[in-house]
Amino acid sequence: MKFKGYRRSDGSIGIRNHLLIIPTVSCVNRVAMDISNKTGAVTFLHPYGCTFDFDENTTTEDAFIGHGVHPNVGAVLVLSLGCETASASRIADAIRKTGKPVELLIVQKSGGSRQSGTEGIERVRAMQAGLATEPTDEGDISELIIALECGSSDAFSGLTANPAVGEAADIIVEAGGTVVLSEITEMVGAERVLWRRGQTQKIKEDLMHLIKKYEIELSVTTTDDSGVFISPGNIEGGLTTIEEKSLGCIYKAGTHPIVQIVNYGEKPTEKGVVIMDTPGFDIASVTGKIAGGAHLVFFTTGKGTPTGSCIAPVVKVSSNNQTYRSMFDDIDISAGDVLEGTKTLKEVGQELVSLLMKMANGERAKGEYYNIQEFAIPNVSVVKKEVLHQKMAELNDFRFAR
Amino acid sequence: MNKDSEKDTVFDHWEARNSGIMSKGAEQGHFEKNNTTEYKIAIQVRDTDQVATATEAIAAGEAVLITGTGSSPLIHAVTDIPRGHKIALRSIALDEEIIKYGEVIGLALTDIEAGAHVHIHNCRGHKARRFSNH
Repeated sequence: MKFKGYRRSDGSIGIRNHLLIIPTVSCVNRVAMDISNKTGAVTFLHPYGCTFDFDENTTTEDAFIGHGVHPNVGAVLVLSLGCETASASRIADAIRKTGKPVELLIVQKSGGSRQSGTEGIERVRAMQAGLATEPTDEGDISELIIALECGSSDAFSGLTANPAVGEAADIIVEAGGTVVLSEITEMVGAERVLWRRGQTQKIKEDLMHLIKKYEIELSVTTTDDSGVFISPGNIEGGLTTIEEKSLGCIYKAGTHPIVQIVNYGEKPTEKGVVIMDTPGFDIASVTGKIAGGAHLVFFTTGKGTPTGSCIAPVVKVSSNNQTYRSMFDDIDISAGDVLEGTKTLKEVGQELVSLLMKMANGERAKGEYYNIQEFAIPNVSVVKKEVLHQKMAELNDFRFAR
Repeated sequence: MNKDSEKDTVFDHWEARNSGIMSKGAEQGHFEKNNTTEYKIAIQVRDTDQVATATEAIAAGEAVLITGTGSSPLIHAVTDIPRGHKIALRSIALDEEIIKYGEVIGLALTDIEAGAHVHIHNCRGHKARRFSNH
């Protein structure tokens, strides 16, 4: 399956040719938005200020680098305040290595917000003049990375939308492409199923470690077992075992073996089914998968959600036709005909793949049409702080209160 | 191009993508079955699955159309099956693995008749687990 895309000097192919403005700290968000509004370049709102520790800072910088080197991006303006913990020069240098045009603008050294804005508009327009307006090369589905995500699920998500995406994932993987699944919290309890899916002993073991990590995090951050066990509500709803509950989510990745496990925002190097370590929060999870090079996202939803990304189409798939109607501005395609018995899961899976190829050829997702973009990165310190609070409570330690 | 006419074109295009779900009549609600057909619907995810999931409550004796995989057989429920619960597509023997999503979701605790409700009373997970810090 072929499409027309934008070939990059590092050999990758994009399905969009965006100019991306990266604000490296929230203090310059408004300047970035201003440049974006006046030039048509894309940007996002930086969710944080300076970071607390090394791990968090690296995650933040790497998420920005991942967006900058992304094949859907043709040129980048890195917009820095000048004193933030995220290193704007490290980010700009890493993106430059791909060979695409990168400009670095530091607000504290460019005369403040207004003058920097004017300067930024000029630099963006100069780079835009050099960007191809038409696709430059033919690409194949085997070169694409497709992210899988669910959010605002309902009782039918695991029955219609997720299995339909699973059928699409099988078609994509059989054609040589890559799908990226995350949401590790949903895998806790389904180790037996996932163990069989790992292609090598190492992948099986790494996946078990990853699931264990989330199980421990869940055990210290929540007293509610419903995320880990099958809850009375789940049982009442018809779920019988934890395997069944987890499969409703992980079946989005279809039936092929798991070939690689990557960290948050890391680009897969293998083709096939890949698992990424992301938090359960869907926006941060989607951001991580796009930072890891996902060209497009299949986002299944029961009740509907508007989410989008600044650089990749996020295709929302509803589990029922009622939500398609009530969230028509946001839902790209409905798997609801399966509930009504008028379509099979395979047919909806094939529709998803043909929609994917149309979008690879430039057709916009609804979120792109309405300019909806969300961006979030995991605040990795939260868990550590929770661990600390837990330990403090256990020790009944009132040192700081006295 | 006029903004409104552009919007109409996009709307029509989006509608075509979904075989006209919007124009099929929102007032009919979730299920749009032919009123003359007397059956309930349950979804089978994979060909190898031994169970399907009821999209609405099914009473014992009612006909159930199995959709999802395209084989579309009509079976009869032998017990009541609440909405969202599973119906056995064939008879399942004691200790047999129960397959849904093409994967093992549990083991049969009893012999299960075709058309019967499959749930915690006759299906168990492989091994009860405890939380790591318990």
